[in-house]
Amino acid sequence: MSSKPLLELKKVTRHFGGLTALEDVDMTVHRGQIVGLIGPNGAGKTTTINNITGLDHPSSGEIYFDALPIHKEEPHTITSMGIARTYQNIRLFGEMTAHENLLIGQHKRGDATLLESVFMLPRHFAQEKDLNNRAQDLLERFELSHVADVKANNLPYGDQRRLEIARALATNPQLILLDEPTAGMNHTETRAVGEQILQLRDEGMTILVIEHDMSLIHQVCDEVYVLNFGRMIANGSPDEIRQMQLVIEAYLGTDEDA
Amino acid sequence: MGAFYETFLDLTSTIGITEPVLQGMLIGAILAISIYLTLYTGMFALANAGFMSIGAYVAVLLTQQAGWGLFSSLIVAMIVAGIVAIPIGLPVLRLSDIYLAIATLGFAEVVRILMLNFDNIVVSIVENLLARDNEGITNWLMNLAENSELLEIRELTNRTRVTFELLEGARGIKSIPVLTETWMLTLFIIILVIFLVRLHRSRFGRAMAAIRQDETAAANMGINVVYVKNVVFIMSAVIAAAAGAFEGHLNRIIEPSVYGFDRTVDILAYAVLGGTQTLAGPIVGGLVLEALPEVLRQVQQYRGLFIGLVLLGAIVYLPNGLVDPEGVKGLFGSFMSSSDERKVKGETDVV
Repeated sequence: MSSKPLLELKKVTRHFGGLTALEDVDMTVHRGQIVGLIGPNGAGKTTTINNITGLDHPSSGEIYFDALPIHKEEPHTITSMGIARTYQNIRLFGEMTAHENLLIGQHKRGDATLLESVFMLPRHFAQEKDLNNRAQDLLERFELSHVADVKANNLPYGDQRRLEIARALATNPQLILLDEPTAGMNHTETRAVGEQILQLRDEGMTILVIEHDMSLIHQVCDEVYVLNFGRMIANGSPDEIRQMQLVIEAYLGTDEDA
Repeated sequence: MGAFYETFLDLTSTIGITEPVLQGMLIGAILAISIYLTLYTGMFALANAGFMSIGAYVAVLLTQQAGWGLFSSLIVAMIVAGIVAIPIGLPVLRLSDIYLAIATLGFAEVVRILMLNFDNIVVSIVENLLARDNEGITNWLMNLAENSELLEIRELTNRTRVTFELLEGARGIKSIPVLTETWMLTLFIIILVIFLVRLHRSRFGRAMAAIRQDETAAANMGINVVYVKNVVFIMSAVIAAAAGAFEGHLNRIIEPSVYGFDRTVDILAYAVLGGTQTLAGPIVGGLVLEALPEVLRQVQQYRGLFIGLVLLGAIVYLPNGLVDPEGVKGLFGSFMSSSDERKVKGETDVV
């Protein structure tokens, strides 16, 4: 593990009007790690991811990716720097086929300009061939080849989830943020997703995963951060986290609450 | 080719489509392509009539006042509209849905009112400058007035009278040379269609579709949403301006009222009737809606009623427009099958 972190959040705070969604959140993700982010509903997990990917910007605090500040960048810049994400509620391009979704994912990889495409210059065809090949590879890898030409809206739920991960991968990221990748899945399917996450890590990817399912966290994570009411209340290995009184209270409530 | 075209017109004129009507239809098709581009990118922008007006006035001034040819005037008109679209698009395209519609509609209205009062504005500026009693400025203006046919400054006994006649306000510019011909419009549409077909197969075209379907996800795919939207808005403006320039040289007269709210609604109706599922949709919509009033000439005063019924029928039975393969299939299917079967089908679709 290198000493320089790939992703670093420093005192990130986000207010929505009077509501404080995140308060002084610190987090560090090192290259090659699989880091989990857990917490009860409304703890600010998705807000954290939105701030990292530029959909939302922190009210104060800094976010560094590969030592570069990204907390003021736009989403498309952050994507081309190497951060990809999936969504809690699947957000595929529903009217496009699985194959086309993967072409969109490779938007930044293409280098043919609009005019080159309009006038059918060689670069357009070279680019399209390259993008198509890559899309085929991803379809095969995520067992989606048989539905390549099916519109994303008409795919079964499990296929949609896999396609979303494939699409995130198509952007050529160094860091993938997975927002509840196993939501609505049964135990076997969850384990399969876990296997895929581990495989991604083995290929050199760094992964930040938001999860409710503690079995997945145990299966894949090297380190876990716990958010509650917008504050980072704990971090440590999955086993350590399990033992912490604070975390148990956050999830199950304290005696007084009960 | 010429003979074929003659026979074609002989045939169509029996249902009311004479050459001027055909030219109007082709203009409609160009405008439909203009609005299709923005709708396809998920932008509900209604500035087309405004850019059309800019295109018409710029091109007509160039041919009538400066004596240019139609082709070069057309190109300049398109460039001017494109340049105007940049400062409009940058702030306005941050809005979405109905807010964008209102803002762009506002722009179109501002353009119309500007054209309406352009001469008066110039007059009041000149009057203000004269009132300053600065000798340099006054001499310069007097010189300008002497050398120009448009500006006139007359010293009356107790005051100075300034007149300026360029756009002629509500009366409009008259006796414009008729330079547009059917083949030009046809050629222009063919070029546009080829351009759009290529556009759809490009990376940029895919980004347009992605933005329509989910703007946030598109941004997270590395697509620069602001850039794509602005470029599309500019392309749409340029095409609308071309339609305006062509139309200006068909009708001998242009006046601001032609480019008002009614026109905006007409252009939107092309896209609604034809559908924006495919490129062919708005083109068919534009052709049909421009042809209908002439085809329906027999029913005289009930014309508007019939056109309304056609639009209503299309919206109810073919919500995705006339050109929508699945919609047409579904329409026939719904007449064939019983309502119970439909219900079951609907449910399976959801699952």
